[in-house]
Amino acid sequence: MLYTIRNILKTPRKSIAALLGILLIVFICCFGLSVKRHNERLLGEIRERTTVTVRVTQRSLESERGQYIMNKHPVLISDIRAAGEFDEVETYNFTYQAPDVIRAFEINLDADRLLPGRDSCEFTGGKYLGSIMIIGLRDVSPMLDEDAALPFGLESDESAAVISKNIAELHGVKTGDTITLGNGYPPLAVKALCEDKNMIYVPIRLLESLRYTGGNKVDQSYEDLSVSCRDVKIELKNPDDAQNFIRKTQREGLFDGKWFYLEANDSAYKIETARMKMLIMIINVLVTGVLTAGGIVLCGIVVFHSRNRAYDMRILKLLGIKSGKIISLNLLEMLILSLVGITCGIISAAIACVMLGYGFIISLNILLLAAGIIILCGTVVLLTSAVILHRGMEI
Amino acid sequence: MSAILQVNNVRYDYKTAQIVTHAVRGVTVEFELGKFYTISGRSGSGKSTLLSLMSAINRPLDGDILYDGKSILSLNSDDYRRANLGIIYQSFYLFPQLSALENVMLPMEFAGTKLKVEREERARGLLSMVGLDERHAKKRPNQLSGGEQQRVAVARALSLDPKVILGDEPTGNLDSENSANIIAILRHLVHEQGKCVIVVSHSSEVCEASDVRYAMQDGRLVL
Ligand SMILES: Nc1ncnc2c1ncn2[C@@H]1O[C@H](COP(=O)(O)OP(=O)(O)OP(=O)(O)O)[C@@H](O)[C@H]1O
Ligand SMILES: [Mg+2]
Repeated sequence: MLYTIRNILKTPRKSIAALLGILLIVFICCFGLSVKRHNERLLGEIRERTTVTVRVTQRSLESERGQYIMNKHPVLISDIRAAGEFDEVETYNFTYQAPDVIRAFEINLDADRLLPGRDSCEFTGGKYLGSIMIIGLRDVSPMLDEDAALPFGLESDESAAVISKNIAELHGVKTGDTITLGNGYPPLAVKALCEDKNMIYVPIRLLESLRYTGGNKVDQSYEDLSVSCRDVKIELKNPDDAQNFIRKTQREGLFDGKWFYLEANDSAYKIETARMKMLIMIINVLVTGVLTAGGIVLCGIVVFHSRNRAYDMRILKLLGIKSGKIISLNLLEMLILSLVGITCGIISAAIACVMLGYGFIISLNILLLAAGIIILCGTVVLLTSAVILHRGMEI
Repeated sequence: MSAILQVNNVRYDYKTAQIVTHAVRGVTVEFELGKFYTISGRSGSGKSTLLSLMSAINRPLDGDILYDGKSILSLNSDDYRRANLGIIYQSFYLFPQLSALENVMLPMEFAGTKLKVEREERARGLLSMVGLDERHAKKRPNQLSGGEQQRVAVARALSLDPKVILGDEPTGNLDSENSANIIAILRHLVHEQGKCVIVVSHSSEVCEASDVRYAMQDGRLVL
C-alpha cells in the first residue's frame, strides 16, 4: 500500500495519462448522461402535459353535411374497442361532433336471427340485444326534412321508434304498438313503419343508454352490437407513438382508408420536442462513441502504464517479491488511479452540470460506467503484468 | 567450515526457436561463509547464467543447488532469494523514483519490518557503512554518481542481512577509484561480517582482492 501510493506520487508523469484518460472518459460520459437525463426529464414533462390524440374522421363528412348518410362504412364501436386493445392507446372516446345534427340513430336489426322461435313483438332481454346490430349513428334529420312521409318526431319524443316494414311484419308489430329493446329500457312506441330494411330508428338518448348501461359501456356483446359514430378520438399514452399507431391501424386494416382518415395532432409536440430528441440522440451516439473509443484508448494507456512499471516489477522480482504480490500492487495502483480518475471525472462533470443548470445525480449508468472502467483497467493490468513477469527477469 | 552454497553438477541450456545454447554444462562448486569468490571468464562463458541459477532466477535442468544444506529447488524461489541473498548488478537497478534511503528501506518494507523508524535507522546505518552520508540518503539515483549508486545498491542488497552476496559485474560501470571503493566494501562484508561474496567480474582488481578465483570456460568452471 505504502509502496503503491508512494509510487504514484513519485512518478506522477507515469500515472497522469491513465488518470487523465479515465477522468476524461468519465467526465464526458457523466456530463453527457446528465444533459441527456435533463432533456429526458423535460421531455417527460412535455409528454405529461401533452395529450396527443389520433382522430378518425369520415372523409365525406368533412365537407358536406348529410353526405355521410351515404357512407356505408361507419366507424364501428367494435373497431374502436379493437383499437383500444392496442398498447399505445390510453383512452378512446366517441364524440358526436354536432349533437344537434344527430337526432336519432338507426339500428339495423339482424331480422333473420331475431325470428326463429319467437312470434312475440316484444324485444326483451340481452338475448335480443345480443343479436342487434346497431350499425350507424345516422342523422335522420335530413331525412325528416326531405321525406315528409316520415314525420318521426323522434327529436322530441323520447319513447318513440320507427321500424322497418319487414321487421314489423316478422313480429306482427303495428304502428302504435310498443316494443322493448332490452333490460330496463323503457318501452318504445312504434310511431311509424319505414321502407328501409332491417332498421329501427330510435331516439339518441336510448342509444346512449344502450352504450352506457348503469354507467358502463355495453359489453355484453360488442362483437354483435356495433354502434357507429362519426368521430373517434383515440388518446395515446405516449405522444411519440402517434404516427406509429396510425401506421399500425392502417397496416392491420382497422379503418378503411377509403372512408376514413386518421390524423394525429402531434405537430406542435413534434416541433417542441425535436431539438431535445436530437440532442438525446447525439448524446447517445457521443457516449457510445466515447465508451468504445475511450475503452480502446484506455486499454492502450493501461498497457503502456503497466509497461512503464516493467522495470520496477523486475527489480521487485529480483529482490524476491512474489509475482502475486507484484501483480496485486499493480492492481492496487490502477485501482487507486481509476478511483481518483473516476471521482475527479464525476465531480468535474457534476460541477459543470450544476453550473449549466442541468442538475446532477449519480445514476445507475454512472455507477455501471465506473465499475466498467475499474474492471477493464484491472483486467488489462492483470494481463499485462502477468505477461511482463512471465517474460522473465532480464531487465 | 561447511559450505553455505553447494552447486552440484548443474546444467542449464537456453533454448530459442533456432538454437540451443549450453550455457552451463555441469558445474560443481562450493562456497563458504567468510570468503570472497570471484568468477571470471570470457564473455558468453556462462557466468551470469550460473549466478542466475544460484539466485533461483533460472532453474537448473540438471543437478542441484543446496543452500545451507537444503535444496533451493524445493524452496519458493522468491522467498529464497529475499531471505538469503543480496544481489548486485552491473547496472544498479535502483528505483529512480525513490531516494537512496527509500531504496534501501524497500526490501524491509516488503519483508514486513513493522516500524518505519527501525527501517530508517537500519537503512541509514547501511548507507553510512558503504560511505554515504545524510546528504546522499535524500537524493534520488539520478542525482548520485555511478559509484554512489552502486553503493546504494550494495546497501539495499544488505538490508535484510543476507548471508550470501551475489554480484554480476558490480564494478563494470565504475572507474577504478569507485571500483576500489566497492571492493573494499565487499571485503569488509566478508572479513568483518563473515558473509559469503560471490562476484562475477572481468576486472583484475576485483579478482586480486578475492580469496578464491574461479574461471568459466564454455559453461564449465575451472580453478
Ligand atoms: N536469455 C537468453 N536466451 C538465450 N541465450 C542466452 C540467454 N542469456 C544468455 N544466453 C547465452 O548463454 C550463454 C551464456 O551467457 P551468459 O550471460 O551467462 O554469459 P556471461 O559469461 O555472463 O557473459 P558476459 O561476460 O558477456 O556477461 C551465451 O552464449 C549467451 O548468448
Ligand atoms: Mg554476464
